[in-house]
Amino acid sequence: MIEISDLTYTYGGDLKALEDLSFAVEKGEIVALLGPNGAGKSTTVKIITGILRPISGNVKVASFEVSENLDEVRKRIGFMPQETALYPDLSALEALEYHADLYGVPRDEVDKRIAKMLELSGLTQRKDDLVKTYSGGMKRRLALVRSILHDSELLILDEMSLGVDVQSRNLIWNQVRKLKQEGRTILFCTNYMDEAEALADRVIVLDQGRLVAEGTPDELRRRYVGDYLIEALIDGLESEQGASWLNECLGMEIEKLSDPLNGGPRTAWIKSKSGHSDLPVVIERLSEKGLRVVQVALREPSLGDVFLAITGSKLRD
Amino acid sequence: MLREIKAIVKKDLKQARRDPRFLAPSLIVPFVLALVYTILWVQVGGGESFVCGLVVEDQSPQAEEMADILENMVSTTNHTWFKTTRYDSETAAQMFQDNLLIAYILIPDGFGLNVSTGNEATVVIYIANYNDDVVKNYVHRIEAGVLLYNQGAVYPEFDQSDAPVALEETLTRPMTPSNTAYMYAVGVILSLIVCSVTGQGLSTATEFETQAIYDLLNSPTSRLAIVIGRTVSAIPRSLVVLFITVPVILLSTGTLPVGNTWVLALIMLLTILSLAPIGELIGIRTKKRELAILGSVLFSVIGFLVGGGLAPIGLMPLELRIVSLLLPTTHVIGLWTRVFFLDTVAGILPSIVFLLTTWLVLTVVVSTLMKREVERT
Repeated sequence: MIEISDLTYTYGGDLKALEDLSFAVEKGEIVALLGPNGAGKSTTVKIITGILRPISGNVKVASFEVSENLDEVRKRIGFMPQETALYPDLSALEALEYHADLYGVPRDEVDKRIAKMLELSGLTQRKDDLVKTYSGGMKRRLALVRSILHDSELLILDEMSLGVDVQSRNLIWNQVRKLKQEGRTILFCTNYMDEAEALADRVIVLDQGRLVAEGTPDELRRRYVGDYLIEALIDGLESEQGASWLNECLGMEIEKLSDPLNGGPRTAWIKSKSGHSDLPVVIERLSEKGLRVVQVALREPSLGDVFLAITGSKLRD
Repeated sequence: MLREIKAIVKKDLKQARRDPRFLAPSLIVPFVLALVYTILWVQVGGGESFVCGLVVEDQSPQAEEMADILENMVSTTNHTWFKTTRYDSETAAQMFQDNLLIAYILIPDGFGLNVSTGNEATVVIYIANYNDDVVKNYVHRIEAGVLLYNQGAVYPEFDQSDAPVALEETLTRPMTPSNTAYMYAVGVILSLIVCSVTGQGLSTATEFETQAIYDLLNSPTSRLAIVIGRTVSAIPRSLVVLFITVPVILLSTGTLPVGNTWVLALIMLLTILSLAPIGELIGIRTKKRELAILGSVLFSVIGFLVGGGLAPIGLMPLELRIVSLLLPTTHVIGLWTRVFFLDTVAGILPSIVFLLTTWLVLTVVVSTLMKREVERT
C-alpha cells in the first residue's frame, strides 16, 4: 500500500529531517512508526499525504506516485492529525458533512455513512453539540471516524490517543482493530509503546531521519533486548562500577544501569536468554563480589525496552 | 468543484455566525473615529492645520495691501493651524493639482489698476471643497480678508454693491458635503473595511489555530476551489455589518448617496475582494484568533488614516503619499467618497483597476504563503 524508497527531506536547505529512508507497508497491515522527537515521523507522514514534496526519493501510495497523482492518493488516504484539526464552532454532524463534501462521498451515501460514524464514535447523542463543548477523548473519536468517512483504504493516524482517558483510548484501539479486520491498511505514529505493542503488526523505528530498526514487536525484542530481562536492585555498587564492570562480573549483557543516587541501590536491567535459570546465577555472582541484591524480577522485555535499546536514553528535543 | 466551494462557504458562514467577534471592531472603530473627528473640529476648530497658498501676480501697492491683510489679519494670525504662504502662480497651480495645496488665493495681474480706476477688482480662491470645514476654514476666512479690504462692507449690514474688490470662488467639486455627512459616509465604508479584514483574519487564524487547515489541504479539494470558497464566503460575512451601520449611520441621519447605488455596490464588492486577502495574510502570520483581530483592526485603522479617511492624502509628505497610494484603503475611500457625493463615475477606473489587481495579486500571494506555512510548520 505504501512504498517509500530513498526518501530525503531537508528543512530550510540544511536541516536534514529524512535521509535515504526506505520502507514499505503491505495492504491490510498495521504499522507503527516510532521514534524520539525530531526523528522524522511527522515529516514522513506529511510526505506520504502530499503536504511536503521530497527533495529526492519516491513515495507510492496504492501504486500511485504521490507527487504525480496527488488527488488519487488523497482520496485513498484518511489522515487523523495530532491536533485533531476540528473546527470548534461546528457540530460533529456538520464536521462530518463538511468532510464528506470535501472528499466527494457519494451524496446518496452521506447520511448513512455519517450515522454509522457517529455510532462508531459514540457521539450520536451529542451530534448536534458544538465540538468546542467536547472532551479530548470525544474530539479524538470524532477525528478518527472523520478520517474513515470517505472509505479510505489507507489510514494515517498521528498520536491517535494523545491525552485521552482510558475509556476513549480503548474505544479508539477497538475501532482500529475493527478497521484492520475490514482490510484497511493503517500507519500510525505514537510515543506510547504500549499502543504500538497492542496494535502494530510491525514496527518501524526512526532516529535522526533514518530507519534504525524494523520488524514485528517480537522480532525486535529478540534482536535488541533478548528473550527476558532481569531487573535487579543492587546495593553496594560503587559509582565507578559501571555497566561494563557488571557485564564482566555476570557474563551477561547489561541493557541499562541506573545512575547512583545518594549512594543508594542501583537498578540494573540484564538481558537474559534462559529466564528463570539465570536468576540464581545473577544473585550468586553479585554476592561473590560483596554486593547485595535487594530486589529482583524477571520479565519479558517491553517495546519500550527495545525502543531505548535502539535509540538510547539521551533526551531529544 | 461546486460542491466543495459550497461546503467551504457554508462552513465559513456558520463559523462566522457562531464566533461573531469580528463584528465588534467593525462597529466600534467607525464610532470611535467619528468621535475623534468631532472632538478635533470642536477643540481645534478644524483639522486642516494646513497652508493656504497666496499668489500675488500684481505688483501694485493695492495688491500688496490686499496680500498684507490676508497674511496678517487677526483671523489668520491668531490660529496656529492656519497659515498663508506665498508662491508664484505656476507653483501654486501645480501644487493644487497635485493635492499639495487644499486652496490658494490669487491676486491677479491688473488688480491695482482695477481698484484705482474704480473697476471691479477680483481676488480668486481655488479650493478643493472636500467638506464643509475646508470651505469654512478657507473661503470664509478669505471672504473676511476681502471684506476688510473693502473697509467696513461687512455682510449683511453693509451694502457691498460698490465694494472695490470681489471674491471669486473656484470649487473643484460641484457640491460640498457637510462635515457630518462626509463622516457618516466614510464611517460606513470604514465599518466595511474593518469587517472585511477582521472577518477573514479571524477565519484564517481559526484554520491555523485548530490546525484544520491541514485537513483542508490534505483533502482532494483543488486549490482553486479553496480560494473561490474562501473568497465567496468573505462577501456576505463582510456585508453583514452594513445591516447595522447603514440604518444607524446613514438612514437615521438622512444621509443618502448622490451617486449611483450600483457603482457603490461595486465599490463595496471591490473593497471586500481587495481587503480579504490582507486579513488572510494577518491570519497566516498571527495564527491566533485574538492576535488576528488585533492585527486586522490595527491595519484597518492605519489604512484608513493613511488612506485619507480623515484628511486628504495630498497634505501628506510625498513619501507617505506614495505609500498611501499603494494601500487599497486609499483607493476604496477615494472611490467611495467620490461616488457617494457626486453623481459621476468619471475618473474612477484607475482605482477600480488597482483594487482588482490587488485582489488577484494578493490572492496568489496568500495561496502560496498558506501552502508554504503549512509545509514549514
